[in-house]
Amino acid sequence: MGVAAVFLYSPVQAAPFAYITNQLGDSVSVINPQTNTVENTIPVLGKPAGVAVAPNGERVYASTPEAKGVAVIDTKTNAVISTIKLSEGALGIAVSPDNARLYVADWYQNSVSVIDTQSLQAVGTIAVEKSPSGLMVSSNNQFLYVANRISNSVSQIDLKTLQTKNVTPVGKHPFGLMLDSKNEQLYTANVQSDDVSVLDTKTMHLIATIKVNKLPYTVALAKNDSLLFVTNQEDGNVSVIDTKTLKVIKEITVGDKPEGISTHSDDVHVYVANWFDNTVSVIDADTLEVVETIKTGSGSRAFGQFFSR
Amino acid sequence: MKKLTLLMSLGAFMFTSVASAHGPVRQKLEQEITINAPAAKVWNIIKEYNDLSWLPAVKGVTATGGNEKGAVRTLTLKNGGTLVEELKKYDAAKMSYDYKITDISTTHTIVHSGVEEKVPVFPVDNYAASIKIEDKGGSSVVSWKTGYYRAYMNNNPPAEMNEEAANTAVGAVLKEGLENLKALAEK
Repeated sequence: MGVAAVFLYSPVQAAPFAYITNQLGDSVSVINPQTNTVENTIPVLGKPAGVAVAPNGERVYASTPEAKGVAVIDTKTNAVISTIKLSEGALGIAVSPDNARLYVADWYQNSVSVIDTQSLQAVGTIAVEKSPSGLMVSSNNQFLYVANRISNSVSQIDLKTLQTKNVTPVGKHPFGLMLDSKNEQLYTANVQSDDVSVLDTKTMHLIATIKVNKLPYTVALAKNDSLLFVTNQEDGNVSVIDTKTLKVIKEITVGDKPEGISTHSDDVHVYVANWFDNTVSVIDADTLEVVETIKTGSGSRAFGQFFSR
Repeated sequence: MKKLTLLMSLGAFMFTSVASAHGPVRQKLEQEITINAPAAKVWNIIKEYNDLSWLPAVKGVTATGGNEKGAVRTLTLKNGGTLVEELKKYDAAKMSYDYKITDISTTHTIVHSGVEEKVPVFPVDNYAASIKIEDKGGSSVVSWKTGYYRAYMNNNPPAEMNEEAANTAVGAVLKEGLENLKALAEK
């Protein structure tokens, strides 16, 4: 007998999953991108809409406005293990790159709640402008960017002090926003002005406005930040923008009323939730075509970064 | 007279005449009906965007633009009030068209949370719909799909403008419309 040599083999990181909130179905669909099928449907009460996946892949947070808070999902068991009580305005949601903090925008209270992900307690509140929607933390954990929908602006929050460093006017009713991987450029989808605002984060100045189609809701970057994809909810298509020239180079037809969009960690496949069709369209950023359509649940919104890394 | 201070301190939103903002839960309602008549016959009844004689809730329609994208029709409702709808997509081959409501008249005002609110005659917001006929041989299936928000965009909506009011009103129009269409087509 001897000591069994325990060979701790680190398995190849499991394929990242996409977590799609089905607002009317009160569920979250878990898509395995290797097969592009839904492997699990997690019951989540409270009309889940916003979604954020912890960078370590262990937790998925879904904002549930009708349950007045956030549902916390354990990705090993694919079940809701906890809920965080906030308010019926909980919609936009983002996790910090170190997994430690969850930021939840309150649509009605003009503030962002700061949650400690270990204790699930609120540890701070950030005052922003009216009807905060999309939000994102810079990869160096320095700043939180918040789209203030009714104020038509973006707030840049210093995360050390939780104070606003800058507020920049953008287009009308910014909803989703995205920062590039270098934290240098910020893009917002402006629902009412049918355009995308581009900001230089060093100065927080607006450097460009790009016209897209009707009711643009969210944005995602792919191919090393060289392409920006924008969901045009009313037109049922996605505008593709070359981020060097800042011009629309293609429009890709997806399903009816597309909203949430997020890019797989392969930086090539972009997934779009089609709210009316209850499906997810998979776009290949190399060919700029839809390569797959996956049936999810009723009212798929997936508003936020819904891929694990 | 209730003081407005509480609402003001929450940063009351500016109410514009065009309700372009909305609450957090988008609603969807889809209804289908099977009609014992060929699809072409049913399409003949509904195909003109300016003709809603098949829809009981509507007293009359004035329209411009024919069946071209961008065509606008103004519906006068039997129970009073008007709706303006814009044609987004029209596909005669698919026997389908998509449209959205761009304006809704006010039926009356109420006081809610100390603020005077206009109640729209159709209690919805950001309403878009599509109607489509599928050929099933000698019969056909008409599906009418709608997406919208409740009429009240802030939290704590009054009963007149909450999700239930929206869903009830939309459901009634769809049901009555599809049933009447069936009756007309099967004559």
